[in-house]
Amino acid sequence: MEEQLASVSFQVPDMTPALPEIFVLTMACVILVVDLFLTDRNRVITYLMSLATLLGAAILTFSLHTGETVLSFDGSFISDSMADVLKFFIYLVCAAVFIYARQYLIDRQLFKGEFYVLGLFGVLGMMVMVSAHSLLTIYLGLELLALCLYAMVALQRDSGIASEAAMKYFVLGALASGLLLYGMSILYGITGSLDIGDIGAYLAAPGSSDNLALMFAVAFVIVGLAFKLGAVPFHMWIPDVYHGASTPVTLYIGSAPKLAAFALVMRLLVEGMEGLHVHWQDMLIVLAVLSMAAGNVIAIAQGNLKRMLAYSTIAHVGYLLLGILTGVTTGYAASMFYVIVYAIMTLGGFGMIILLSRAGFEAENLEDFKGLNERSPWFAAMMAILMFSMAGVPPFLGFWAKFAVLEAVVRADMVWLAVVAVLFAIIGAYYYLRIIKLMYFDKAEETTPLTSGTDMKLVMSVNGLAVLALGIYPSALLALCAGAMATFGG
Amino acid sequence: MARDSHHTNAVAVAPAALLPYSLLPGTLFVALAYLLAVEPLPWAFAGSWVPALQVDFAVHIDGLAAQFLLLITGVGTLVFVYGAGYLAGEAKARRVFVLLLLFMAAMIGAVISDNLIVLFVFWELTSVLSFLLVGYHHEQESARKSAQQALLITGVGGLSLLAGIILLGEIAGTYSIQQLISRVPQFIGDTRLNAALTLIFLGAFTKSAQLPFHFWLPNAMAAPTPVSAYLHSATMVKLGIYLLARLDAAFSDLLFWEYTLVGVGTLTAVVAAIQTLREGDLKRILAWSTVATLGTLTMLVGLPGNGAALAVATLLFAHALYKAPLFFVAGNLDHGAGTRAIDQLTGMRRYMPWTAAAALVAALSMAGLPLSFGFIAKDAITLAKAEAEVLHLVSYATLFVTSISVAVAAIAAIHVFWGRDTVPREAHPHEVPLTMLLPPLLLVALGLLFGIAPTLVDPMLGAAAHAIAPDFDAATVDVSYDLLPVLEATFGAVVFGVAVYLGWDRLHALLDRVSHLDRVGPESWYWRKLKFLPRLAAWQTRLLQHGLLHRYLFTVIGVVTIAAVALIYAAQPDYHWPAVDTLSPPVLGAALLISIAALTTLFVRDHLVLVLVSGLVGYGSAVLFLFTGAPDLAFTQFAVETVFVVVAAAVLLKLRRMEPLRRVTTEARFRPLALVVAVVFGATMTALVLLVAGLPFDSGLAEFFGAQSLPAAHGRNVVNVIIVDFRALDTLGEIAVLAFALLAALPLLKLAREARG
Amino acid sequence: MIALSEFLILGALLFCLSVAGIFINRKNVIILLMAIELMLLSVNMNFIAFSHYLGDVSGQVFVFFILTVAAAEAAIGLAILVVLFRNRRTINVNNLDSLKG
Repeated sequence: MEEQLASVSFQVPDMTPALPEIFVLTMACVILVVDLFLTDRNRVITYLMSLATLLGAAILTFSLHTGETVLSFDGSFISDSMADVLKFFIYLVCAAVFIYARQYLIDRQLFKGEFYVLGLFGVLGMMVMVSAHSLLTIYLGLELLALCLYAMVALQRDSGIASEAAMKYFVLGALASGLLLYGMSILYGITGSLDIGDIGAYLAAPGSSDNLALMFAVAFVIVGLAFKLGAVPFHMWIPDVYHGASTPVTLYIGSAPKLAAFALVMRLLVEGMEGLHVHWQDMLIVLAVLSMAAGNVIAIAQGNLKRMLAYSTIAHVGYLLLGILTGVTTGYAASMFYVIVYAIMTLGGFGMIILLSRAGFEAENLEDFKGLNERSPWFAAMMAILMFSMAGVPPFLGFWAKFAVLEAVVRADMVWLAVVAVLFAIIGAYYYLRIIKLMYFDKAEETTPLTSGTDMKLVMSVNGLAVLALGIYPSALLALCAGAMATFGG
Repeated sequence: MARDSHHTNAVAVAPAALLPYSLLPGTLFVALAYLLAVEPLPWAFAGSWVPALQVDFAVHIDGLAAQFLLLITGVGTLVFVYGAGYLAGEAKARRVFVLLLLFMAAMIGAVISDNLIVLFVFWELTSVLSFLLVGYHHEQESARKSAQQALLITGVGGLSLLAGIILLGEIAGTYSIQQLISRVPQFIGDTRLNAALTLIFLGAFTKSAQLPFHFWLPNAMAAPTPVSAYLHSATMVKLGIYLLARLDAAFSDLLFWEYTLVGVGTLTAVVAAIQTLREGDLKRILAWSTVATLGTLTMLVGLPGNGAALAVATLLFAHALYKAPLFFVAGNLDHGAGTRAIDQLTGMRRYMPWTAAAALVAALSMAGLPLSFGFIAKDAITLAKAEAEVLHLVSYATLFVTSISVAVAAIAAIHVFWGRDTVPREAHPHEVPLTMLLPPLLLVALGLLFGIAPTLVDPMLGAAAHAIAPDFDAATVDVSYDLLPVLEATFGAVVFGVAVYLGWDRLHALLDRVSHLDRVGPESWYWRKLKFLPRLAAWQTRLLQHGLLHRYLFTVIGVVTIAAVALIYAAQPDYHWPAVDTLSPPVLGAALLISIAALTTLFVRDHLVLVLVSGLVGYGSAVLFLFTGAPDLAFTQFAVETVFVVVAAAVLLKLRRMEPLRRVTTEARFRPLALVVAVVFGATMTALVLLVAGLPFDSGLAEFFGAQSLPAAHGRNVVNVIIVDFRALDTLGEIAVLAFALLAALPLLKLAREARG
Repeated sequence: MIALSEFLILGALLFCLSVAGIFINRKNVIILLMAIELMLLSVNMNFIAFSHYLGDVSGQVFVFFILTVAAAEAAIGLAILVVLFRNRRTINVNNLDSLKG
């Protein structure tokens, strides 16, 4: 026994790359304890501390950013450009979610510490997912996030649809996790390692990919990933959960976790299984086409804006996959750009629902946006910018995202796929533009002015203007994504 | 005219307050004219925008772009002046002016850009702004629908244009139009070129209202008249023609290019000419005649030869000079007589003499009569057709279209303004203010001037033609007039046109009788499609999002099963059934325990028993772990399983106390499909396992990863050491997961206690 | 010595049973939760088997984590179940259909 122990060298792992994670975890625990001693009146301290945590994590991530790839914890943790960029946007998006959520939660007596603490644990989960470099770390990050999300959906305890949504989400999510794990176990059995780098090296060896069992592993892993992303036919949870959860939770689920899910796809499929590209490409094509088709078409039938945005999410996931499936660096960069753009736009979309809602009134139906231009021309313009952007109309941000993935697909000689994507983008444009029509051309049924707090209005304006400004000057963000993806693909 | 009744509290805007808006286009026009006079073309600047996607803000202004710029700013100035009078008193006038300014900027951006993607960006912007402008009278249902239709059709075209541009850029290796033209010989044989061009055609045809997308343009006449005159006659709808003319230098030798453009253009012109006869609203009549002109322009772009290039430039210019004034005239009639219906308008010259004068001169040009600039255009077209040796069919079609133009010109100038005065008194017909008279009069005066002295504009037209066809020598413009065939063509058109004019009412009635043909036309197809989409969406929703959890699960498993079967079917592997004679009694016992317990769960009805039975599966696994050299895991498994069973049972009992659960006595229905999927899934999983087990584990892999693998020590100490040392972060994460799960669960459970209490 | 394939077959059996349990069952959410447990167990079985035959201990480590995460997951699942029951007075899978469209 002594000998066996001696053969395992005791090396204290380098904690520095994981400092942001450690910080967020510590702060989440501190906030949890502090929150216990707060009354409802000074609950705002929890809110401010949560924002401070995100800010601190952002500063840590930024100051630790070297642009170089650092492995730690026996190779199960990685810190590279992609991780840093995605983490940065995760902080940013979550901070905006927290700000948007405040007034809404106060109005509904939901302004408790749980939302923020769970939110921070979710952020931690996403950070672990983004920086995971072993199947084990990936699974832990994934579950940490998923468990937070299940609980957050159920937080609105007296709502029947919220608990139904939570149950559906939980059951489907657990099934997906199980399938993903099963795939991972086969992968482990074949390659003999949990480390993404080792798996990648094994599968990159010629001849190693010609194995049916591996195909099964890929298929199971892709099912798990498709579920987390919300690609058809593993999308069913998205509309029901988006609809059933309270809007701030929907906002949280719809935005930042997609960034983490993108990282997950990059780590598992690209870094781990690039050798199997020809095989997973076909599967992703099927998922992408189905997602674009079902998402865009079904969205037309929706009268509930949350459901409509849910289907729009599904469609966006289809476009997101287009870049990844090309299997080249520019394609990955295009997808990363797409997912960041998507997060910013979704933030604005659900943010508008919160902005229009007030105590006892949920502005989640399309009718609630009628004549918004008369009630508030400024926020009608913000919403118009967001909708145009989602529809992919230039020069808004969403256009560049669509353009980048389409170009990647054409460059990979899949012209038919680009044409299909454009076709469904056309159908998609219909329902986004319908909202613009409602806002500008229809008569308002509601005439009460908007009652949201100043912080919300400010961030909402910044959000909308960012979509415009980044659309006019997308180069910086594109360069950021290209830089982050430089180490991926050949 | 539909007055805005929406903003009761808004302040009406005086014309004087709106006039300053016209200063901007006016200044631009003057500056541009000056620069063109002193600076030789082309002008080029390069600027960076999105280098990552090869999108740079390169500006290239040659003759064609310069001509468009002059039209955009020149007609723009007059539209702004006209609008100041037309929209005075409207509450939303300022919004229209701001949108028009933005629109002008977008148009300028589109024609000066050398980069196709930048061009597309501005192209789409014009569509969006057109949407907002057409929907100006949004309290009218028809305006809303027309706005949406215009945007959907041009948006659809825009997106296919984008696909076409990307593909073309991929083929040519550049998005720069000038580089593309110079690289044509390198990629002209590419098989993907026709696909790219088809997509680009879709974009150009939707924008320029070519068949079968022509119907949106007349419907867009719901916009205020200045908007119609500017967007839907002078500038935006010409953007498609502009793009085609731009690319003509590259692709004019392709037969596909020529045949498509000539065919579609001619057909559009003929269909639009026929549609003209069916309308009773002067503005819609003018809209259809605009579509006819756009068709002619498309045809001319497609025709090979230098003469065609000159004809395109000339007709573009002539059309702006006569059609914009005619739109202004229609707006004036709306304003002065309160209607645009031609059967209610006769003898209007008594009330609106200046408008009548403008209409008459514009009509001369439209009819292509000598001394008007329209005649010069007709001359260029006739020469172009002679040079290109077009089919007789196309010639006859052109003759037909020009005849209808003559008839429309006669309607606008003679029918409306001359003859008996039948305008109802209560409409108080009156002449319009100066701001609405100057623009049309100025334009027709220019038309007359250039008609008499075409050499004045020869340099401009020559430069534009040179940009369309690089072989074109700009110096040869003024010597090309050959009067005889033109006079011949004009004579024929006038005779036929006068006949149509005289028989207008009868033709109108005749065409009304065949109106049921509309039901198979492209517009009805559009409406059907628009109704069909929500139905399709609703059907798909019912199919996919029925809200039933078990069917969601069924879908997931079903898809996985199908994928698995497909994989196995594709690979056709060999299986090796393992020998089952090596099991030791404890392992066999554990395996049996697990299998039996797992099977039992499917048949047990009582939930509590079910929980206990499922616990047995866990214990069985623990025994297995024990005999696989993982005793530490086995103990954990025991512990976890016990906790789970106890907690689950506790929850169950609690729920029973809260309300006795209805015990499920019989299964609802036999579900064959579910069973089939389950069996197939099981079979594929077994196959999978056999495959994995058949892999050579002990030899190759162990060696391959020998270096990376941790020393195999099956003692729990080592595992624990690893957990706390190597996997410190993971452990941290795990502790976080556990702690947080309790945290999340507690508040949820607390509630249940409150409910009970 | 037990053959790897026997372990794996057992794992696959558990996996299939859990899947069948998940989607054939329409009556009770608790059965769903247990089926999910079963599925994780089958994954564990695979990992242990592979770990054993590869001579690599990291598979066992993974199983530790899966076990604890599964426990956490079960805790959340049961909590959601209780909340659901309180709001709906049912834990019947068939009755979870108010969210659709």
